[in-house]
Amino acid sequence: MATQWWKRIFPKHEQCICHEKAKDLCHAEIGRRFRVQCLCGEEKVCERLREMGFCESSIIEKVADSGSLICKVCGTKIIVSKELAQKIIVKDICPCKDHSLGNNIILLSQMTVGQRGVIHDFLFETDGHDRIEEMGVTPGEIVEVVRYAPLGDPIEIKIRGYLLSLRKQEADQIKVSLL
Amino acid sequence: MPQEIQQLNQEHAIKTIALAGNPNSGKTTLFNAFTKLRQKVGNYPGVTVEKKTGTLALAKDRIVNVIDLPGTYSLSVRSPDEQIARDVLLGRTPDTPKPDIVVCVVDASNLERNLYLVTQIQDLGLPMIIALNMMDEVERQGRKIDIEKLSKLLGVPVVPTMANQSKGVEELKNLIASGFKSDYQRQWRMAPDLEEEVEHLVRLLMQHEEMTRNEAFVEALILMSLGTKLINDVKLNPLKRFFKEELISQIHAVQENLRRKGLRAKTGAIEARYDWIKSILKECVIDKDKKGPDLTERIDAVLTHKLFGWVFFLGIMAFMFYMIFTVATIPMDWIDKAFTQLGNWVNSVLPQGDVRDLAANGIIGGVGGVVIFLPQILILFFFIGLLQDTGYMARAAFIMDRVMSKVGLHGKSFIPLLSSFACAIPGIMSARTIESPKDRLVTILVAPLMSCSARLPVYTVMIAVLIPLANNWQKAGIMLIMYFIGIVGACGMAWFFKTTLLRSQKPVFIMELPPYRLPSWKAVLIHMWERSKLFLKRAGTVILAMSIILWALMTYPKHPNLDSAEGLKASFAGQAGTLMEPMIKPLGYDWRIGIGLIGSFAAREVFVSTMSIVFNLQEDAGETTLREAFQQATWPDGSPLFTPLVCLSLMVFYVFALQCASTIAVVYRETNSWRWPLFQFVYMAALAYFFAFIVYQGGRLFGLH
Repeated sequence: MATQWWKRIFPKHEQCICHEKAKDLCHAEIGRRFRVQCLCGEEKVCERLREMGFCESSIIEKVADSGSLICKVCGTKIIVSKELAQKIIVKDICPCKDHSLGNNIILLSQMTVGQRGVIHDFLFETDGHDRIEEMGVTPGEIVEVVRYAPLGDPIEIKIRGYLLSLRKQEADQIKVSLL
Repeated sequence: MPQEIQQLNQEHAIKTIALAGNPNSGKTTLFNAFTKLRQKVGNYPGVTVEKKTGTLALAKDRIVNVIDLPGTYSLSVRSPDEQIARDVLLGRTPDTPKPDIVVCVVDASNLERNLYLVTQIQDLGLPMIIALNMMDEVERQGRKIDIEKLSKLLGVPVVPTMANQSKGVEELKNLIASGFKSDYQRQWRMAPDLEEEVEHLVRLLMQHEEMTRNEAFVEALILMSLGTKLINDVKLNPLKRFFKEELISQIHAVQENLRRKGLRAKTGAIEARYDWIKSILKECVIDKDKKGPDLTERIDAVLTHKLFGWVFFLGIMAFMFYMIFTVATIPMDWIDKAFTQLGNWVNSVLPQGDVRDLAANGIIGGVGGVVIFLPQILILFFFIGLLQDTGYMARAAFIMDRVMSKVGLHGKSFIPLLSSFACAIPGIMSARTIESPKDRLVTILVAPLMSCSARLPVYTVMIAVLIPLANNWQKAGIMLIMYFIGIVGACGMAWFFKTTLLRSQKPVFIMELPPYRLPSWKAVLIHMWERSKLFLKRAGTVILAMSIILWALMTYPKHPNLDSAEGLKASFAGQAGTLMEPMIKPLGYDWRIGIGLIGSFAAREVFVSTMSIVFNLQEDAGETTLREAFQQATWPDGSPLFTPLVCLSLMVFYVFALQCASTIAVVYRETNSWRWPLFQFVYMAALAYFFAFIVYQGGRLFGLH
């Protein structure tokens, strides 16, 4: 199928529910800071990117563009190839419009033991979070991190009066506004 | 008029009750209280979901069927369990009648999440009663539930119960017996835009598929969030329905509409349900002030502690393992002796001949060799039942998940794999606690790679031949290496299967950590009893057949004037061994070892007794005689047969090969098809051959012999 080949290469591009102003890192302006909206590539590539600090909702700065890009992530400069940069979808940081940018919004996986917050939103690209919502983790609900497993993963949380455990991988996709 | 009343009664006569509810809600305890011991365990056709049914005497001459549905958190059709629960409730499962009434067991101490399932069952439009279980815990938590109000707001009769003390069971029975009609009206509402689209789709479905309003609503919710491909493909479609072209295009139009408006049907419904539940609970649950951490929190502070968590975990596992390995050996000896005596008795009663040989060696020997594992199975399932009932199982998975996820498995795969060190049969049977079907299958596929206790005799003999004067440390060292190879093999294969054959979209890992509770001994014992019965009944038949076949292979054709060793060589098994020789020669084995390999298919330890026959020794020859016979064995050209390299290669072969008919029979039972046990046998045989080949030929390359 002639129209489908690019879908296969960038399957997630299509499903993305990024909002209007999202763009890939290649097309982002030099010298500005952006928030990573999502990563659109194979799972392995995305994982690698996340390891390097290009997590969803983390803030990066595009420093230079000379074929490959230089970005500032978590205080360090990283060179990213054009191909990789195309897979990083970013959004402008614009405090007046982007209301998801409150200072006290963090990922569930970044919370420390004993911290409480309100579930804000999900970063899952498709409806992948419905299983989590069915267990009662819905926006507006209060969540408390009870503990981390002895090896650091999974996380145990308290929600709707009971204990639930989920892997960091899932907690990475849940935005919480701290109380 | 009396006639009318009778008709009315018949119309409402209840024949089948379904028990639904979340896992850990006490559903099984209530099921036990209802049915006493009149239960039956089987499988739903075509899937590996367990089907539990029983009967309940409502009155003296009024006996009704009770179906215990699999415990689920939801009825959206993502897992086989949920699919079955939903299909049964809709009356779409062949050979299971549509229930006339649903008793939904709700854990009152975790009301909010438990009621989510209630709202889903309500949508199906069946008459329903809520059994508000664990009321004692609610009292202990210092909370109060206004049951009358709850019942009124939900629109469903609510009966408070304490199934573990059989309290409330009578009231429940009376309510069921009296019978009532459901007049359910959905009270929760989604966003108006979403409601509009749902309504549109419901009307379409009612028109095209002639569904009732309730069915159409339930199906509409699922259809709205399915991808295009899933709707067109009947096999992948969770509804397993074929829709007309025209309807499909209309469904797509609705989906397109939703997308344009930025609405998500599935999560919209979930949130609406929870909002409704919250509004109800606000009115009828009174929370008292909390008095500090509850018992579960205090226990968890220790049992999932960074350091003590490990201490307890390893301690519990070690204790369980110790019981399986040592305490179980006592009854195992009894069984062994009983079967030997039975064999002797048969030998003395029956006249000499094939019948006697078949009965004594084939049937009694073969079945005895498997029944001997019964004590291990009983003990393991006692512990598993206990761990599950108390709530520790979820903590064990919580602790181990990080390790297991490295090879793509679930934390719950740990117990089956550990149990497989004792015997793969209970290990594979205990894999039922894993919800995800693919994770379960991978666990079953790799479990036999863990060196089981039946391999020990083979290892022992081989080590004795390898290093005749080995001290205990050397023996233990080699033994440990063999165990280690098995573990690495299992991890490697699990990773391999998860990345290739059984690759799945990473399922969302989410697991409840239920509160700690005192175990119900009755439930634990029933659990134990059920598992053992299944093992003896189902696996027993296959194992019996295989023992007879193996016996026949090693007995026929008969050559009366040959002694037992030569007779064995001339038998089908011997011929097969001879035929196999060119194939196993690269591993350093001759036809005699070939016969041993075939014979050990009944059970691995049979290798030792088969080799005794081959070398013309007494069948129960001691280790020393056997060792000497092995050391003297030569190839026709006079070179020794059991070189150190051959011993190593043979041990490695036994680490990997699935030389166990009982395991195959159990995998067949657990996966409900011959496909997986055969695949497992082939892949493990290939691994065994490959690694034995590497050890032998590699060793020779380095000049070893």
